[in-house]
Amino acid sequence: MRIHLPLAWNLCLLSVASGSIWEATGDIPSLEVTREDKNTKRLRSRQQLAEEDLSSVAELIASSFLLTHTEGYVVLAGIADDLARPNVTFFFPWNQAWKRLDTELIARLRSPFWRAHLIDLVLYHLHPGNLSPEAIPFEGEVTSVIINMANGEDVNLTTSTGGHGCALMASWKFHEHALPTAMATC
Amino acid sequence: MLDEVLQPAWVTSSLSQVLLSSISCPTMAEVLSITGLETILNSQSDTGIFYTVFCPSEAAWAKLSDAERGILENNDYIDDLTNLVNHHVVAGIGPLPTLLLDPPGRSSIYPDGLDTLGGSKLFINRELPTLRIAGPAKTADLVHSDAIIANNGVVHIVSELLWLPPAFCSVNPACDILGLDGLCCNTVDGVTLDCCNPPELCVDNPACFAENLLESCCPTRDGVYLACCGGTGASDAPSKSPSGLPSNTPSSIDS
Repeated sequence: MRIHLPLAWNLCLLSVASGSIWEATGDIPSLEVTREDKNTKRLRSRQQLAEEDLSSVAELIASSFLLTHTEGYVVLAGIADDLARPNVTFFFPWNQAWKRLDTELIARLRSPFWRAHLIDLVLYHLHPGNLSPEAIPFEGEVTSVIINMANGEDVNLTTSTGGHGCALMASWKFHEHALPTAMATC
Repeated sequence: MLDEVLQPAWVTSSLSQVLLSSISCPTMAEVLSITGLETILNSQSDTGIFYTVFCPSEAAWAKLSDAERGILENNDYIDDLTNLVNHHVVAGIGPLPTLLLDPPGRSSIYPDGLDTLGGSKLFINRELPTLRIAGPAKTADLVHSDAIIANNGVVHIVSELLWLPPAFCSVNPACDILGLDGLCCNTVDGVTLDCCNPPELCVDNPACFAENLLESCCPTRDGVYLACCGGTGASDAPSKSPSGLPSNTPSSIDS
């Protein structure tokens, strides 16, 4: 079953930096998908992604070399099955996003003692529903929607039009602490 | 595609903070505040010490008798309340992983037990579909499979108080079976009741001997404490002490 992902948000065509934490160990956990293996990951345009008949979010992650870190953490967390289901929306942090995380936090997330924490963090990027761009009501130039993520917490999703197109912003609303705001442009 | 990793609440929340905001552990959070132990669980993760807290559910706290609750709420027994919390906290280099996620097939996850801050050991036994945590006072079930997580540890909710003050009648089997309540070993007046350390042999327990029981009674070979343990005669009848701080001379016991 084809799912309608917000593929329009996946046009971040940027080069890949070297020296990732996975490369340091020489062992990048990868998803097992039948369609492609990691050797066939390639840079795609939005149009190419839209034309491919990827059957799940898991396949989409496994097919992009910009998402090897996300793929690795999904495997470590053991939640690949959650991403193989139809009608889920996953916000992909790209490799550079993972590299910006605090190194101590990264080290803990890779420890088996912190598996519950890793699962929670990955599930914070998963919305258990089909959140296509059409599903977000536009009311003027800026629209905010609060959506519930799979870990039980909410994010505030803001879309705006104008200038260079649209922007998706997810800000943490649960606590008062200031945290980085994640943004993707398209 | 996001250019930042979204960070859930636990990244900036300590165990004290998540306990205070949790709807699952309000009594434990209150006890932490009273005893001042919240400062320990508020320690930042850069100390390198992480904690696993076994939080008794609200139903577990409700099982305390009025007398036991009165004792724990009494400032004279603040040390007992502090110990109670410490015996529910395990410190180490990392929080325990979500217990139910451990590989199946092992009956005992930590065979040597887990050392609590209070000095006791907790043993975790897998009795599928649940996990059981055996403490010095009681054995509890894991209430939720999901842990409450924080940046310096995790909280697991359990169905029982794993530790109670050793002076409580309810943790001394012979006193408990006599229906005594509150403090027995010692009482508020410093008296140790006969039921606290009853001799094992029936013949050494007058009430058991009066019933012509032989061999081991307190406990039996099966580990069961008979009702006659700690009693003084066959006519002894269990009775409960009144609520609040208990009397040191229960009607059924000659102290």
